[in-house]
Amino acid sequence: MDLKKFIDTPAQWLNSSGNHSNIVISTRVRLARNIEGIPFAHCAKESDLDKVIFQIKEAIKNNSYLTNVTMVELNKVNDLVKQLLMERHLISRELAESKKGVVFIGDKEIMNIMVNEEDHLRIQTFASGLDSRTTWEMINKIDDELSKYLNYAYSSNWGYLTACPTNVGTGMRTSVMIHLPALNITNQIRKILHAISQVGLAIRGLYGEGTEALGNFFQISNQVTLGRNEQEITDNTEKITNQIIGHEEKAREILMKNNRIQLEDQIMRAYATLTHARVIGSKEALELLSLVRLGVGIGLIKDISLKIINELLVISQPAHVQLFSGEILSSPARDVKRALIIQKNLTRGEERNV
Amino acid sequence: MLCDVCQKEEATIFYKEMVNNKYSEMHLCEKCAYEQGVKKFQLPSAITNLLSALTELSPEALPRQMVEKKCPGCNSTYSDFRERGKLGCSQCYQAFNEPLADILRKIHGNIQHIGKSPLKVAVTQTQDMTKIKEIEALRKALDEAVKREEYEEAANLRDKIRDLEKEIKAEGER
Ligand SMILES: [Zn+2]
Ligand SMILES: [Zn+2]
Repeated sequence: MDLKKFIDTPAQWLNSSGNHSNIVISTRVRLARNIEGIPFAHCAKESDLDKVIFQIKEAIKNNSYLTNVTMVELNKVNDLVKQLLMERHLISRELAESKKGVVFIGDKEIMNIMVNEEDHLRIQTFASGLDSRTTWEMINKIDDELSKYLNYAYSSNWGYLTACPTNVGTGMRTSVMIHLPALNITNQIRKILHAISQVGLAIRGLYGEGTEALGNFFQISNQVTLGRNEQEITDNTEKITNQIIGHEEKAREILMKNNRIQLEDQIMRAYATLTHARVIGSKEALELLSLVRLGVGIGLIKDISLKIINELLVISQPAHVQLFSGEILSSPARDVKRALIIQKNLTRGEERNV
Repeated sequence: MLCDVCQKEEATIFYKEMVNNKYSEMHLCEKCAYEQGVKKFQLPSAITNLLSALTELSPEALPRQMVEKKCPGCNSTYSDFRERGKLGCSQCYQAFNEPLADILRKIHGNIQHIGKSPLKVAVTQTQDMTKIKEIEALRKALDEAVKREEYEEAANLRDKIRDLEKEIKAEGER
């Protein structure tokens, strides 16, 4: 893997070109699949897991939708690279810790396949903004093509068979990464999140299950995978996300009407800190970037693009900061380097700089 | 039940999370859940539904044969599944059919898949089975060849598989 080129080219889905980009960062779909005749990853022998890798490698070679795919064997890279891949949402912690974990990364990071995670395959596609149609159409083609070469574990009653029964059926999870600062400031977030959980969707932090919802960035995704078809799952997630977007927009309007000066003050203070501070921690960075992102969304800050802020959300994370420096840094040294990276990117317009 | 955090208010929010393959359970009042939640949202999820379904269907509640039944594919027992929350292989679905149906109904509210199916299933239902069998045999030979590190032979076998698959595909599209 050409690490330098990789970190210098941010994922395409961060480019804020999609629908509702001022509130929705990205849409991701994943399909869980297993190969018939081989035990699920946690139960399989290492030689079985090698077989899984081999078969998938072959199937990818034959897949016309998967050209320019980079293969990373996780037991051959160091912890820093693993963390880098996690920060880019290309692998999960579980995969990083898997004995025979492999990830195939598509061009511009619009798709990836995790191999030997909880299931043999976790196929994912990404798109900017709210766009469950593009992500679904893309993943559907990839999956159809793979299914010609891989003998998927499938039953006509229960659909795609997965290690955990929570994924059986379609094996599909549509996740929307969404930024809801105004709902938090106006104290409505708890109500909204509760409502979401009542309609069969789950909410997680920025980095998935059990992670913190820093900076009011959330992931919303479907829970039910059996007894609904893929179209219903995408439509439902998109419909509810649209409602949440409506609430966030209204909350932004109300703040602008009733507390404009206070809101602008908070945002501009965050902006000032990000552009002038010499030391910034990763959590602090997320919180401040969240406010500046709101500032861009409401038109208060005009000379920064959402794209740069989205990218900074990723490149201000610890592994990115260290790999940009080309060395392992202590936490205090990272905070200094991070402040520098953020400052350069926020003060030099469109061109990203590290 | 009182809230685990403040020990004062009535706990109204329950959540379970998996840490090191063990489930830990929290009972929180709304206020504490909110305070925890701002930092760490752990609202009811599919895994919570799975857990409550698994707890209700504890081995004691099941006939002995079911508890002791082993999956022929991976030798896992129903108790293994209950402990791990994960099945061992695709055949487990058949082996533990009955208790699983209850669990799946609790998690998903449904037990019948209505989504897409793999292309190959569609193919095997209508196509010449001899070719499919032949491909299977070739795949086995291919695995063996790779194991023996005979890559030239492997490449040949792979080409044969590809050709057969192309034929099947062409027939399917006719
Ligand atoms: Zn409490
Ligand atoms: Zn089994």
